[in-house]
Amino acid sequence: MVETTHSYESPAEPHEILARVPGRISGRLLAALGASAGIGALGFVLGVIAAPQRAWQAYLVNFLFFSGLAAAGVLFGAAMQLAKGHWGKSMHRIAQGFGAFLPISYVLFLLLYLGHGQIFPWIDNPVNFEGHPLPAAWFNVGGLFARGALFLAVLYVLCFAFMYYSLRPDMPAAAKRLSGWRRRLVDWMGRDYGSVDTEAARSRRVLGRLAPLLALAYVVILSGMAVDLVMSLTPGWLSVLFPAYFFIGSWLSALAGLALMAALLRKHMQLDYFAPNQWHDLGKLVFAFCIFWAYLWFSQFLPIWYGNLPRETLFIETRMRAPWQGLSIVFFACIFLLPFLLLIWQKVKMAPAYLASVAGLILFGFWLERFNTVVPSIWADGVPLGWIELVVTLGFLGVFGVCYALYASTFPLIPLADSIIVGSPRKGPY
Amino acid sequence: MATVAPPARTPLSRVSRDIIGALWEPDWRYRTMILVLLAILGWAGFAWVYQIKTGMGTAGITHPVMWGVYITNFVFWVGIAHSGTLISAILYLLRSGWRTTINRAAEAMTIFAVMTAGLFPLIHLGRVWYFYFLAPYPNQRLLWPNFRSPLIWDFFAISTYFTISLLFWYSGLIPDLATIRDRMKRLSGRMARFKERVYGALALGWHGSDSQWKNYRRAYLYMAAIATPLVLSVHSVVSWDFAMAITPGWHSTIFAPYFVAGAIFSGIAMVITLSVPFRWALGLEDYITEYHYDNMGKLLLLTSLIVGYAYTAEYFMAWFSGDQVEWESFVWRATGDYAGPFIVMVTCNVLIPLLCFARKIRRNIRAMFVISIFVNIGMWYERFVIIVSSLAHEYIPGAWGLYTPSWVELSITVGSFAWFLLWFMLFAKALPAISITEVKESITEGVWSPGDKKEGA
Repeated sequence: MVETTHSYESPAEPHEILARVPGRISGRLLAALGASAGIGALGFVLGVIAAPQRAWQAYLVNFLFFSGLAAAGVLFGAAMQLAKGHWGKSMHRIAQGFGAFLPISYVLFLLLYLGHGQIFPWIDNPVNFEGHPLPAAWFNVGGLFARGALFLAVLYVLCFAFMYYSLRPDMPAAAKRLSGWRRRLVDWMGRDYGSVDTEAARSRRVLGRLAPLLALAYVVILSGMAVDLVMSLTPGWLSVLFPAYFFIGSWLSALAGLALMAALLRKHMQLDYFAPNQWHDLGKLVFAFCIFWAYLWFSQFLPIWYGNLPRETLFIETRMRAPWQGLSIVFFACIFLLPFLLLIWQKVKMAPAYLASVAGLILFGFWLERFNTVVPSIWADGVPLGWIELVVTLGFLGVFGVCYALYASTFPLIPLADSIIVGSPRKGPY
Repeated sequence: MATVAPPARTPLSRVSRDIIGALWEPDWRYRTMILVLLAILGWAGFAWVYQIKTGMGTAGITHPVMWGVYITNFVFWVGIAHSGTLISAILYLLRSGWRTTINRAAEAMTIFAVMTAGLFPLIHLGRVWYFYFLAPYPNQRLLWPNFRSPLIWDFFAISTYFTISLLFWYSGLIPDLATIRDRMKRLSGRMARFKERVYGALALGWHGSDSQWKNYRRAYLYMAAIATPLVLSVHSVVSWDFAMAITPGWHSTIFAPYFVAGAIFSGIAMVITLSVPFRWALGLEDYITEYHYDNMGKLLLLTSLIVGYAYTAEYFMAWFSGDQVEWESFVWRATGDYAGPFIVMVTCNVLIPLLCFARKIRRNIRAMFVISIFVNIGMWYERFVIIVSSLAHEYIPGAWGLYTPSWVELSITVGSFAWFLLWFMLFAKALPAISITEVKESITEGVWSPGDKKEGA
């Protein structure tokens, strides 16, 4: 049924897109990001001296938030490939940029080892809350970091392979505008280059194979992350749904991140290539996943509340009572209630500035949500939100921002060649 | 009926000819099939009457397994009902053009499956003549249903689902009914007049004006948007019939999304199972092609992976949490008296659908037919395993016990399939089984035309 069609796409001329690749990060931006990264690093060190547990738990919260965002950002392209979401073809590189943080994320995971004593409550006494022993095969620090290092490597390598093949067909065209290390990187990525058509065809073939693998790895490995880095902080807590709730949360945060970045780049880099219907589609996707996320939250909450079994309520109860209750309400409002009420309106979904504001709200909500899943499990003394948490978060934001800026200043953010999904947007209800 | 199907001069008139031409003229195979189904249904009816007259003791359910095959069937059929709304509403919103030729049949399936599922709580009821106690209304008995019971949530969820599915299906039918009415106008004879009147009344005065189309599209879009959350909510509520109890193996937070995925999984399998004989019998091979099976295969694979994830996660969490009861009951499920059904469930639902990773298999209609039958079997067993093996093995060893279905229960189970198929067969000859409007739109838009085995450029 044709209502309004998706026939309108802004014409994107390759030279215009290439003209928007700056090839360098503006001094002010670099200074701002570098300063926050520096302050963060310094603040974290001071925090470790002053209040080690607070510093490390803030570190973990931010690690979970930003790593999930980065992996899910790359997943966006894979999901569009799998679902043949033609509308997202030209947007996928903006989300994919989050993946530039992944190598740092890997190092940060390894560094977390230094703080393991501050984080995992089961280290000295691996029993659940009823005093039953926890499976020793799983609950040991060495094993946790070994499997984490292995599985994160698998996921991140797949993400990078996906990014590589998505970018490769455009490399020679991009190389002409770059110099220095960017030029060397782009030349390396475009080595042994055939013609644009053969390279694009090859990329499509490889990405078609990589996309399902990446999606499966994302689901399995983020589930593992949720188990080891969140659930194990409340030993003995039983909720089968939690890992799925966790990775859907990261996925939603990446969708929100995409909306936010797309609007920012449109404003500051004149990257105005998305038709109103593409914004609308992105808005609808964010809206749908807000609802789905709330559905998962409720599916987890209701049986626990109704069953009232200690092995399940021990996680929920802390968060439902003071001092955590307020925070729980705020994050739920930021991720679901307010976005739901706002995104119902077509105007909000279609206007980049409005959509980006809602997306910002969702991202803020997710940071609180990650904080709220991690900290109450191991911190008994009020809500620790102070300078340590602020500074550590600022540091992560700075590092993440530098990674993204390096990516965005090197690669064309709109695909020049059809490296993923062929065809045109489908007609249908609008 | 050659007069109904004049020679097709354009691709568009060919669509009307093919789809309307498949109606009404049942051959001997169709009549025989109807007779066989009626015979099975008669036998099942006899079994039910016998159960009502003699008492619930004729069914195999007893302590501790008070929910047996009847509730298994209930959940199974509600699950089957899910793909219809998924295909018609969600895929519509997602602009998945391939839904066009299968949505009508899938929606019909939804309605008949809900009609089948709805029978089972009644059959399961001890004194079925008191079933109206379920309905909440002020009464002189001063009795109200317990609103805190998930069973009563279920009553509301399923009646809402049935209503919306029916309305959605019917609104999709309106332009097609008008097409049939108009075609009847050109024919003579009393039968043609009769059909003209019936289809005309059902078409609600549709004459295809611009304003009608405009309002119709809006309405259809809104209905799709309203129906979408129902796909999630109905089976979530069904899953909470179990998950709200603290029985190990039932009480799990993943149940809602896991049941929804399982429902869509079984529903897609049933669409595949039915559409293969159906396209052949009605001569509609050009309308449901490899292209559709390829896409349904992907959906089958996706939902199978979600179901497999849930199976694995349940075991992992039971072990990881260090909770003995949880872990023991899951071990017993896989190795105890019901290990057989468990193995069938895992093989059919997780292992066999992995074949759908291969594009060649997805595009092979026979292979998809065989896989879909395995999935149907596997999903029935999944419901059985969840319901029976959990009840048979709760907390207190003294209260453990086993369950075997009786002949009454098995007869009624087989009868439910006959009841479902009977409705489906009547539908296939009475209403256009493929949306004429949407196929024509698809051709005009250049998305897909009958006979194409791939999406158009």
